[in-house]
Amino acid sequence: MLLQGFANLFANPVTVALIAIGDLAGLIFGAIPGLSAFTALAIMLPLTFSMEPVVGISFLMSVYVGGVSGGFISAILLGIPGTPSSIATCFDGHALATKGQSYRAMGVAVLFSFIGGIFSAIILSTLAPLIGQVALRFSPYEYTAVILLALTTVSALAEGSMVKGLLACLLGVSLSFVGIDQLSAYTRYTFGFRELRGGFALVPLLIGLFAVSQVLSNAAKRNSVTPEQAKLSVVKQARMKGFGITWKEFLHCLKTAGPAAAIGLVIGILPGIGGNIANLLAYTFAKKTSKHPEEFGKGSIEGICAPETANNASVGGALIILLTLGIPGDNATSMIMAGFQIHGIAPGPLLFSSGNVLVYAIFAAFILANVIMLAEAYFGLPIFSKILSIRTEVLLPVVIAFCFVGSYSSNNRIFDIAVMVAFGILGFVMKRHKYPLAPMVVGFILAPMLEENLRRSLMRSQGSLMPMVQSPIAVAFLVLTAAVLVYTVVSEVKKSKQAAAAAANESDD
Amino acid sequence: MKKLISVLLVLCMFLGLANVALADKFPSKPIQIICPVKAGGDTDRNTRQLALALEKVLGVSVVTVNVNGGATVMGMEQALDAEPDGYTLIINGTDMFVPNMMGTTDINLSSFKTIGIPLIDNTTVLVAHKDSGYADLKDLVEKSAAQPDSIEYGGKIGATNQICGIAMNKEWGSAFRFQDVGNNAAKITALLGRQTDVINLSYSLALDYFKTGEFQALCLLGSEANELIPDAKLASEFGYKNVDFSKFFWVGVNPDTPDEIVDILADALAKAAQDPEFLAYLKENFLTPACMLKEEAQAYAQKFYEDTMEIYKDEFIAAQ
Repeated sequence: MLLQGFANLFANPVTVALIAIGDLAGLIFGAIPGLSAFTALAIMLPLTFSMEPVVGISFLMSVYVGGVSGGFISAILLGIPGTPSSIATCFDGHALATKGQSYRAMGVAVLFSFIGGIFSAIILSTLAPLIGQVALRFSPYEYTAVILLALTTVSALAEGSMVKGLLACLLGVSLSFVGIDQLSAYTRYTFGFRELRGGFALVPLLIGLFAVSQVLSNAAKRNSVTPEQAKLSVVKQARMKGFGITWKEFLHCLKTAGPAAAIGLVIGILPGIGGNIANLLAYTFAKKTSKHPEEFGKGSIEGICAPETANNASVGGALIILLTLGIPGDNATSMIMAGFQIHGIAPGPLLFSSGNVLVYAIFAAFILANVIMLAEAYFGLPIFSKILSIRTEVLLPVVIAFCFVGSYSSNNRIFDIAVMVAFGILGFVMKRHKYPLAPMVVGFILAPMLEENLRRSLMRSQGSLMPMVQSPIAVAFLVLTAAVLVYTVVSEVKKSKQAAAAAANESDD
Repeated sequence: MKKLISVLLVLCMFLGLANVALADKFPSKPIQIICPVKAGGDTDRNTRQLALALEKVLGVSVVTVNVNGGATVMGMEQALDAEPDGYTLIINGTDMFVPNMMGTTDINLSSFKTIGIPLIDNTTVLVAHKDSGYADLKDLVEKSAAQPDSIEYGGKIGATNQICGIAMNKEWGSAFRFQDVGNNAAKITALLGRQTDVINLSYSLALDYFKTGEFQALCLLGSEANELIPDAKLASEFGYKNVDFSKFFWVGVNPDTPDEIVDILADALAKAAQDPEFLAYLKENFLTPACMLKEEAQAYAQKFYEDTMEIYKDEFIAAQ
């Protein structure tokens, strides 16, 4: 059936050409800080009106794949996540780039984006209907448990001081309360400001925290950075071939990629969370299980491989739920859903059970989009690294301009631009005082979902928490949460004991 | 200096004339339609189809802009803040009344000038999973009344479907327990996973599940039968009062928009509503064509609110 899908696809060269164009457009949008897969899809959607359904949807798929992948480019080169899905890629990717190994960092990112994408594509085309059925078993009880696990795990990630990490996380949680409460329409913490009733939107918040703050930091240390940046751009370039890693390194990374792909897939399947959480979760997992956790944050290739595998794997996960159940999990898939509707196709179980050729054409298009993405990004590597040789005073204003566009276009509100600027300043201050930004974002995204699902659970159980411990799935996640908590506390205590011992030794000398 | 001023004055006059000329040739630039909910739902789908039809009539591009948040309030505020030049339209439906009912905003139907209502969605059905084994609506209502709160009605809290739950319990004597499950997509998921017992839904959103027989349409929540959906009978056929939760699809503009421009837009809407492709789209999605314009449409919407929603206002507020 899948072969038939490919046959259909290749029968029309225009489709293949459009997938290539869609991939490239997605990559570019993804690479530009502020613009994401969602922005790209919103702009490209009207272009598909006049296309044949298969052609139009294949095109949208490729834009989605390219858009999620492209974020690594600016994450590595500028330390600014191009999309919310590449926040964790900055940690090690940018560290490696400042060591003059941007080519290598991007090589790993491209390769493992592809592997994550293909992994999820295979699962999508073989197990989709089955997974769809399992996902239906998730009631608010199970959601509460899963989100609790994600929140605990990622908050424990905190680079440096754990206390600062938790504080940042709590700040994110508090900020997420602003606006009209999802369940009771009660306004919270708006202080009478009309605009605040919608709360802070995620996209401008992310752009501000990561992109604007980075630009501000760069501007602050402008004189010291410019010559250094110019230096590291071309030096290593010429000597590197392929993806910049050896077979041995590749196989080593593959071990990290396995669990990362699984994390990405599962997170992608759950509606509401996607690549943004998947990449952070996979990074944390890789760090905690790695034999060399001390290298993380300093340019570990495992630290690039994990988030990049996970974010692309989450795409397949999101598509599973969209195609099998007709449920869009996030903003980007909502746009694809709108694309389906424009072409009079309803994603859902009938699309599968009727053995519709369209389904297999979509699978084929998704796989092809991943392959073409790999090729385009691979040949683009030398070009991308050139970005670093652009002078900062030229590059950064352009980045800022796109940040404005991206913040506005996510929900078409001027107010969001102000939000972006405010969070840019906040991010700058937090970075200066070594407060990690990732836990804050995680708190901001997950707290409302935790609240919503917990309140729904309590509403259903008439205020009792018992049903939650009666669900086997929920219990499994709650046990995992407890395990993470214990593990983190134990390792923190060990660390502080070691530090104390080291200090004692020093004073003895 | 004097010369400069006179030149400027002449320029201003020309600009003034140019403005008048522009008004004569409305529309001369792209028009945006604010859709106050996210992409991917039925409201967004209707908006995009209407935009295509309007484009043909007006000869300029008509762009759908999703402004999500605050239960459609964010989108409505943006339309009110826009220049009253007719280049920013807003669509909405019965949802527009809810934030005002709850007292979270002053914005209401009368805050806008109505362009018209090009379609009515008389496809809201009360749905159960076939495995629940309800013979028909009567069976469901009787089982619910026999054991109050045993049957769960899932919907979005603080939205029209909560009012619908109140209306059903009041008019039919049922005793459904309302449970928040979320928006349309979440409602379908919850019903598929048998996490909730009954939901209300636009028929076309779960068409696949009606075709496979997994979902069972117990009744049409409207006042008139929809011949496109013969398997959904009105509540009155079971001897109950009809509870009307059909949805009108309303198009409006900033209230300061000049009447001439409103007229042009209303004419265009009337033509777009007759567009063969638009009509085909309506039929495909079981929607009812309508062509109410300006005051007529506004009066219809207001009466609809008073007849079907306002009468349950006290219970709705008390349930929050």
